[in-house]
Amino acid sequence: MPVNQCTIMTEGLIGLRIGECFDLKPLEPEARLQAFAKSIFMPRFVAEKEKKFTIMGKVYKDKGGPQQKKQKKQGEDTGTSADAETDPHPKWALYRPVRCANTVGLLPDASMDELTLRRTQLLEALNEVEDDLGMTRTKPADEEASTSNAKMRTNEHLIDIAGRKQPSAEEMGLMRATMTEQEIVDQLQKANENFGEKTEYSQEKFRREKMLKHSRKMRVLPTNAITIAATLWSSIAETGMKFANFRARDVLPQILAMANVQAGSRPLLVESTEGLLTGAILERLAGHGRLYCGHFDTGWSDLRMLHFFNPSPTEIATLREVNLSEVLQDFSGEEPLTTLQTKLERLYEHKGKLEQRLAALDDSNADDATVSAQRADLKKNLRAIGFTIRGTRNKLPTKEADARENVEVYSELKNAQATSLILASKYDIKRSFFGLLKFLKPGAPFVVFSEAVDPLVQLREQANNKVAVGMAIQETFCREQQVLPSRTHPLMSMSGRSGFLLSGHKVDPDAEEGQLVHVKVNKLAAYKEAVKSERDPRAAKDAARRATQTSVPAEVSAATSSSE
Amino acid sequence: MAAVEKNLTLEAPASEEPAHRESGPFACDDKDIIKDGDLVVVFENHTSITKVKVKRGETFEHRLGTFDLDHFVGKRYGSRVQPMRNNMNQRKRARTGRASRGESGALVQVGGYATLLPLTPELWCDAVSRRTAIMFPLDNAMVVSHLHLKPGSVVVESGTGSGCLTNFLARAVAPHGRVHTFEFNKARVDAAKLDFAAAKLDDVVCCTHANVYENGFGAEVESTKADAVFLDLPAPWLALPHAVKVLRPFGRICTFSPCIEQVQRTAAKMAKLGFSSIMTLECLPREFRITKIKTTVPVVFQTEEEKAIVRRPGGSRGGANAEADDVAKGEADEDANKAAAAQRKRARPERKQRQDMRPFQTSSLETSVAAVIDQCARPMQEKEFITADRVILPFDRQKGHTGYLTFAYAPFK
Ligand SMILES: C[S@@+](CC[C@H](N)C(=O)[O-])C[C@H]1O[C@@H](n2cnc3c(N)ncnc32)[C@H](O)[C@@H]1O
Repeated sequence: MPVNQCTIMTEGLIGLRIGECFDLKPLEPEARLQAFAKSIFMPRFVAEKEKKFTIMGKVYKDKGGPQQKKQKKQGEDTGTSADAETDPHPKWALYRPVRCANTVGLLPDASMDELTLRRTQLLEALNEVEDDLGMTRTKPADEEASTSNAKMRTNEHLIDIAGRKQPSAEEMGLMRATMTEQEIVDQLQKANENFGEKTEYSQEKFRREKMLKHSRKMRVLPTNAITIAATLWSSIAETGMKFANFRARDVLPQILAMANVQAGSRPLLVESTEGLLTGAILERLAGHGRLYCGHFDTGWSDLRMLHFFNPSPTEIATLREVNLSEVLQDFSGEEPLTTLQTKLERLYEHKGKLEQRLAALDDSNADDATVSAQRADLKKNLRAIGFTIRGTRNKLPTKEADARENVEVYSELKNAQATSLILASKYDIKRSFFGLLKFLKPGAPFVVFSEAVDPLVQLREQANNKVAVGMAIQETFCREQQVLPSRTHPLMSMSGRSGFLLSGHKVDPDAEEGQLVHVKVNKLAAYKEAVKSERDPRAAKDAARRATQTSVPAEVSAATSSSE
Repeated sequence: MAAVEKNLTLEAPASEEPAHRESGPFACDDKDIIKDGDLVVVFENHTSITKVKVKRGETFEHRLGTFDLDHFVGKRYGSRVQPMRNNMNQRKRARTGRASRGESGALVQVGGYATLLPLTPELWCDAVSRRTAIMFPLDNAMVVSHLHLKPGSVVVESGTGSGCLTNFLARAVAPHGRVHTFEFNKARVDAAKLDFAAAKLDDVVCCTHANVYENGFGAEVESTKADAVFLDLPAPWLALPHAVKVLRPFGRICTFSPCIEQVQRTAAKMAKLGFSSIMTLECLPREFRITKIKTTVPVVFQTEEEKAIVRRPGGSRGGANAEADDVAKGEADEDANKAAAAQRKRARPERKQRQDMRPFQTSSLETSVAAVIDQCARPMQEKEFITADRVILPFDRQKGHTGYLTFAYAPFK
């Protein structure tokens, strides 16, 4: 059982502090299921094993696709998948732990009291889930697994694999379950035929790497953009899964820096990094300022990674999801509210009329069949209208809050109050950039990420210095070095693909045109005029008139300027 | 001018308050219009970036000429400005000995222009007067993120140097965090303090004059503990024991060293002191430019149209270096006619230029050889077709990479 598929008990980790170590123990399936159930309520955590193996506790919302299939396979031997399929509560079935289920770490400064409180809360919550999931149900597959597990435990600790090249997967599992990492490495060393022939350095390396691989010591890390990204990155490297083609280790820090993200800033972000960028920015805002997280059309921002960050309520309060299509189409955020209110007014009006008519009927005291039928009709209508009114009224508070937020966000964006623009999305780069630039403050920075250089080149070619200044397209070369006495060298595998970043500052589009004069244009024009005037008296007059105009339109100066 | 005055009076009352702000020092949230006392960046191009404190009634000497700072007040950030007097013209006048014809009598602002930008740590790196070797934006961004800094963090830095990294640190930890930065060169401390005050970093950055090898980071910071330590010193390993004292358990550390030998000593010392997850990174930015290069198409590879273009008599010569200029204008999709016309223009002058270049005095042997070469070359040249392609090239000189970054977690006690 490789580390990253290991389920560890969450409970034992509660109360651990960041930096503390714990043992990674393989769990029996039953316990694993419990851990899974608990993980739903747990904050996320990140842990690592000497930086090479990082794991992250998380719950995962399946969205189908190949990934799901893969996890199902994984789930089958734990028994969770069967459970999920037959589970009467599909809500829970959607969640499953991918790497390992667990918690901790996120409360570095929490007092012991808080932790105990938290723990009781979690346990209570767990009881409920256990009922929901029907945890008491027995699962034949699991039983088998656990009995065979029990048999393993009784086995002799050492498994002699000497003389053979590789232990089988089965033997490996057995060894992991029963031996310490030291013993495992001893065994492996014995099994490795040419260990003795290796140089001293490579013997050491062999032992070091094997120790690392089979060690079960994990250390709790702080949960933040970098540790989360590192874990995701390593998981991508392992599974071949692409993560928005985004090398977070060096690109993420640069995006945050180039976009001048800090407490109090108001970046406008359009991302397809599944919430990694959103989380990283919220972390840097720390509850001050605002993050406009934009999406287009009817879609929603996919922020599924956001929960790994354990964002606090104040941090979440700075997040504003904005439908940029609405803002761009001049949709006023007030609309849904006012329509709701007018609707309500009309309903009341109508209701009043009906009541008047009813009263009139009552007053008339006529008692024939048509009148009573009318009365019954009216009453039915009134009741129906009463329902509609109540329904509309119930919608009002949330709509009101929504609308208030929308009005605020829309007016801020329309007044170009975003303090930076960050694009790292699947949307058309050039059009998104030119379409959204109007929301950015003049003078403020922008960053555009693209996997390939071409879209950025096209963008750069179209953005002249009337649009932006200080534009630069760059990629990064980022390489890790192994630093050991006499054995310092670059690590073998290195990602050669950082993607590209285009950064720059927006120019004030309303800069007084015509005030700027370009000397070259001026002189050349004057010179041409002068030459002409020597031959043609009419042109001379023309030239004289033009000379009194002191300026040349800014477009001309911009187009010919050599300053960019 | 009137507009500027009005803006000023509008701006005056609100500005002076050092109000309680929940924003970082570089957050542009309240920066729309340039106010008296603002620190602004005068951006001309990538190689000419300066910063200036706007003060009414003062002027600012720039490469382009003299700027009247009164003009800056009331302008929006992102506006473009031109100097009153123009250095370029003066230089030209000095050279030619007479006033240039274009500006005869006209009272205009002439010459290049610059854009006014709000100060960011990135621009600071370009605009700072370098008192020491500085760290560049890529490394600085890496340090901030991998030290896990966020608002409220306390970070210790040494040495301050020109303060480039200090700005990045301050931006990340503001408003409630703190940067304690230590430098043993008194002059640099004083200069840095002035710089930080000008950028209104006083309540975030605390710059101390001390030798950290000998005296560490002071009892005060050691008692309150820091979340992270950054060392850019010639011998970081000498400061590591002090770093252990000042760091909270499992805090972060980063050292920056240009030489791998320094990294080795540092890493060994870190391991000895109980630091964990020691990781050394090397990061280089590669910046690209968009440019056009000319390539010659051999006759055998030419298409019929190309041959026709080459044969056709062309117009006059275009701008001498038109092809070498970086493409800044959005004219990617020129229609074919235009391209062909430009092609014709380019194909001919090439030959003309080479002929022009030849007539210097040479020895008879050289002349005869040259004549032979000329004869061989000319018929080919007449048929030569030159394409100008847009290409993306990395810059020859890249800003950045001056060393290795080594990160680790402090011991967990
Ligand atoms: C390369 S500079 C730092 C540059 C800075 N990181 C930047 O980006 O602007 C190194 C600085 O460390 C200072 N320094 C060297 N040894 C020191 C010591 N023992 N204590 C304090 N400062 C020291 C030097 O005076 C120098 O200014």
